[in-house]
Amino acid sequence: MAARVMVRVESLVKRYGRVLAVDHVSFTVDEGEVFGLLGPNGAGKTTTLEILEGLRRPDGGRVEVAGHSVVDDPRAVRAVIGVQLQEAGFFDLLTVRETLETFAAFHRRGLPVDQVLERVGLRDRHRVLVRNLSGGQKQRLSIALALINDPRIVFLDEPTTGLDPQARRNLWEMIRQIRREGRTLILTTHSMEEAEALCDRVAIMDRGRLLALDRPDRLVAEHAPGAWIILELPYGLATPAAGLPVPNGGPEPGAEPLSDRLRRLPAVEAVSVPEPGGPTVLLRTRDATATLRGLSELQAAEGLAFRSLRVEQASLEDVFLQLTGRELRE
Amino acid sequence: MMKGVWAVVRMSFLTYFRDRSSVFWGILFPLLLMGLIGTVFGEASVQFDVAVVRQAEEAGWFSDWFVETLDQIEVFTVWEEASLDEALAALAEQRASLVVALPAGAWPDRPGTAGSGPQTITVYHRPGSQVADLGVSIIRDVVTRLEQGISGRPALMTVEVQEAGGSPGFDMFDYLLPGIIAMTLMQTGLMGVTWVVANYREQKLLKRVLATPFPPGGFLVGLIGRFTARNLMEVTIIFLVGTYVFGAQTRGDLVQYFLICLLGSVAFLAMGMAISTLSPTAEAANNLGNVIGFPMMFLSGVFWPREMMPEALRPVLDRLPLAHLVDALRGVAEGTGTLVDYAGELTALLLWTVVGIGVAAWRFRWE
Repeated sequence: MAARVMVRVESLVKRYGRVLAVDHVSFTVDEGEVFGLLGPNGAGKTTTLEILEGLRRPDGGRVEVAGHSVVDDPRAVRAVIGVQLQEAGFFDLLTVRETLETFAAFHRRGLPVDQVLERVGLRDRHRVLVRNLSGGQKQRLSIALALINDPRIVFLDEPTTGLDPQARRNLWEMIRQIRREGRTLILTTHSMEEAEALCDRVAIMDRGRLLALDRPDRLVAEHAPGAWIILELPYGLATPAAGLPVPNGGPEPGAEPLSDRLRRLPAVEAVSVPEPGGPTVLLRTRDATATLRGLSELQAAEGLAFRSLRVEQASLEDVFLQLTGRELRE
Repeated sequence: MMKGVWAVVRMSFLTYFRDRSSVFWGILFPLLLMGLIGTVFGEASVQFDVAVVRQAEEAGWFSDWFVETLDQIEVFTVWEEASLDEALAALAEQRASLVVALPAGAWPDRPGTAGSGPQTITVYHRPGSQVADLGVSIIRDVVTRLEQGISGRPALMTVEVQEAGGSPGFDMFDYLLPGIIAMTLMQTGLMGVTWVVANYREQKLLKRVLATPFPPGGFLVGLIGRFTARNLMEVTIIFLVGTYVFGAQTRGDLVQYFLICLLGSVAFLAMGMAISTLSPTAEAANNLGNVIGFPMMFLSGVFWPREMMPEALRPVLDRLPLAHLVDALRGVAEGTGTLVDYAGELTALLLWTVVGIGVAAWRFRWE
């Protein structure tokens, strides 16, 4: 049984002057899905989102939300969506409860204020003036505003930006809860970790274009298969460029450098040293099992003892690097 | 729709009352200004500091009686000096405004008994003082009445004073109250609206509203409703305090007075909306509102007549929107005119309203 399509975007175009902010982007979002738009600042995520919310007019293409065209019938769209805006302020001198009551009055239908307060964990703060809330609490209030009209689709624009790790975890849990209620979620983020943790499917955007769209694990399998093996060199070995040491002595003269030996291990694609002169070495491998086997043989043969060794799955970070040739973080 | 408009009005009133600065500027500041200016410049009653010198050796009963009587006169502050020289020195140093020297000669013993001819009470005042004449005539009056008491001669004639005809005297507070009310309406528009609307835009609060199904126009209607309600409240408070605390009198028709307030409120709200759309940031909008509002406050005849301004500027000053509002409101307050007499001013205000709304509608941006 195919899920219902809640959002359909076809060849969406948005220009700011001569800049193509959104360049022929197409995708669909199914009901009940958590859909992530991932990319660096300026990738066109927020613009795309605001067009879906009916806040900006597209310059081309078609956008349907819950069966309504956002261009022709923005009011119908706004009635079924909940929107959390990036960096939008509040009426500072209202309390949390008054803020929710005010915005509830702007919608035709809505959830009871108390229920929403409970949901976002602001029940005991309901009489506090908004200006006295912490950053995380403001962000939760912002999400509460997105839920007040009992929406079928919830848009979250960079919901965890600027939050400390604890607040961020709380928010993730809240987002999962919203999903469990059967609502469709569309969020933007520039955190790969967040996209992997929350999203059923991720659209990777860069410079207005949609580069890839799939489940996070499939994106990794397709664009950046394999894993990273992270090693810490044995004591006495300052750099992988040095030759292997003889037992109880310095480097063997004329010996092959360790980095070359590592590079020749099975399935290894690249060897890199994140910190020049430091003890950490990264091995990019297509097949972590094969490389690890070779590594343990090398250890046994040469009597090496790496200080630590761990394996990390390749992530969306690697996918982005693979797709754009750039790191996601600026 | 109405639910949303009410929510906006409620929201903004909660904000207004919690923001002490807006209550200060909207109510306390105008009242303080009125009290200050009215007290400093509006001191209508004249006060005399009277130094009395007794030149007779022994304190006669008449001297006591005379000093006592003078002291009972409200506008006199009376004290005694030991010698005429000291009293005249006080006059020269402006510590005293009048010096009264009682005669050295013998006084009549009792009422009804004849004395040894007329005694002379000398009154000294600084040269060229017109006010002093008033003091002198009061003293002369006192002397006449005391003399009647002494001689037992009944007064043959009395003078009775009654107010009649013409317009009664216009007190400083009577003059100030309409000006202060007009100023308050202007402040709400040019300083309140500009800040609030531009700030909502800058904080993306307007965008938040735009993301709901609530018609954006409804939000603006709610804001205008809120500012109108705020104006009516402020005007009522200022009017009541002005009338009952400062004693300002409003002689004209209150309904017309109220209608002019309403038009002034709408006109300046529209202008405030327009200004808020002309500025990129809330800060800039606020500054622009102040730059326009403050000079206008001093040049439009709020506190003193525009006749005091340079003649060359008058054609411009007379056409300031605040000048129109002040003139119409003051005219109706004095009872010297009606709405019809001020049709020109009111039409001008209406025009400002239309221009303001036009610019606001043309330039309005939600973010």
